[in-house]
Amino acid sequence: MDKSIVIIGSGPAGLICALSCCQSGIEPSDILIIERDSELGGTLNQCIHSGFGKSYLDEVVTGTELASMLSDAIRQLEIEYITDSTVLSVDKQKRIRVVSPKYGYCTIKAEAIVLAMGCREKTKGALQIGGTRPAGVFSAGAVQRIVNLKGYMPGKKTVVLGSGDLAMIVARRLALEGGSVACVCEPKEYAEGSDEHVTECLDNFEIPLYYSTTVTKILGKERIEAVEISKVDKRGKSIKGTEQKIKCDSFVYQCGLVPENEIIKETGIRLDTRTKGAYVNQYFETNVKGIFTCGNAVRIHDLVDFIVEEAQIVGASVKKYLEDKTAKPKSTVRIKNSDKILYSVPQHLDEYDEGIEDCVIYFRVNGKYDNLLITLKKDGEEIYSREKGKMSWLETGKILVTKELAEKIKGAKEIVICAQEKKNGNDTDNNS
Amino acid sequence: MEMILTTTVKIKSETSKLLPVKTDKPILKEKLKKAMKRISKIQVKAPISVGDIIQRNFTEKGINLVSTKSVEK
Repeated sequence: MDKSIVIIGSGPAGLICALSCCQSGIEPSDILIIERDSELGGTLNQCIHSGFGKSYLDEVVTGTELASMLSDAIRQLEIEYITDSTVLSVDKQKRIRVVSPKYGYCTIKAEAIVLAMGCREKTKGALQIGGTRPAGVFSAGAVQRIVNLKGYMPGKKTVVLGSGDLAMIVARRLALEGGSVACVCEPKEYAEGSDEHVTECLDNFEIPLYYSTTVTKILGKERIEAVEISKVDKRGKSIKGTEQKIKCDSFVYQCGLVPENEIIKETGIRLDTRTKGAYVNQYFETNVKGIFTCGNAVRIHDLVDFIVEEAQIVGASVKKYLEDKTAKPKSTVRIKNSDKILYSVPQHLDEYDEGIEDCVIYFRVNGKYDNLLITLKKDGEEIYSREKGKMSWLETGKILVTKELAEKIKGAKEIVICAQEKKNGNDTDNNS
Repeated sequence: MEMILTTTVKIKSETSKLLPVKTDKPILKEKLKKAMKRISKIQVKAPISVGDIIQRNFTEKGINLVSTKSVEK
């Protein structure tokens, strides 16, 4: 089967990308969305809480309401989608092997592909907790799904490890449904998620939050009976003598999300080991021409707002690609990062006829800083500087490439994003 | 402390066991427990559309419990 544009994944990234393709002038009938779940929406379907839409809608809505709005828009345009459909592989020639109730096993040949598969949770093995392996141990995302979609509680008395937004939202959900959340343990000295969530999810529900604390053992034979928690030092090492046993019948851990890119192994797409997503240019095109990617498949986002921005860029990018598939960039500028910068996306800028003006560089820092100065350097010379002030790894920073900045970047083989912390008005370090 | 209560109610449907709902205005923290107890007794039937009022004047006059998802059957 042939299809002009195939979008893999129907979370916010995939759906908004489809809508954005149509806004750019692509015929709705040229698009096919492939979704492995039984409904459109992706992770939004289990997000029954509010807070979506702050920067791109007139109102703030719940995740399910946003999924509904986007799905309705897809149906109104009559864009084809298949659900309960699993992509087995994608290759360099843009052939997609998929099994679906509608078409059975088939190979779809596409002109352009958008990889919007989102992410999955890391597994408990990443946490390295000793003890036994009884039932009653869950990841936070799994708990959100079983409570909100299936109607099951993980247990009656729960200990939560991790203070990211997801863990706190789940802790509140359990408390609301009559569960007892014994405590939330956070190995760092500060919460991983936003201050608003600490107040709204934990303080307001009298759920204790223990900083510098981690879970060191899981106890119980067939069903979990207790966890052992310990204080940890600044390096995360548990402090002997501070162990405490907390009785519980369920343990929920949040250990982070990772882009889900397994199906693209045969494409030759290069993955960035820092983001775990593909190397992309400012059009969110991978190193395989005509294969684009956006959303959590590129990098883990904390807010859907940035996914919306990216997906809108991809729509226009796909249209541009279809208009001239043989177009080659005039030059490429690599974007490097100095220390304190966790990663930046895109990883390189490709200059075509329209230039690089108006493109955006997104970046994250690797810790919590009070007084950050962000600069861009070309051959050691500063071409851009901005006082960012407070910034934590939670935030996504943006550098807009203005006309002036684009002129300065011209001719460079690479530019470096640097971050310096200023204390008392003086630079504390000089990095290039 | 006031918050928009978001939770789920039971639904009789071929595709879903639960229907996500929310209060269309924030409610006081003190009313949450009673609200959740009341919600546990509610059961609705498909079809339901986003925005449908599940229960009018839910905890007090002017605050309704509304659906945040459409379930066709």
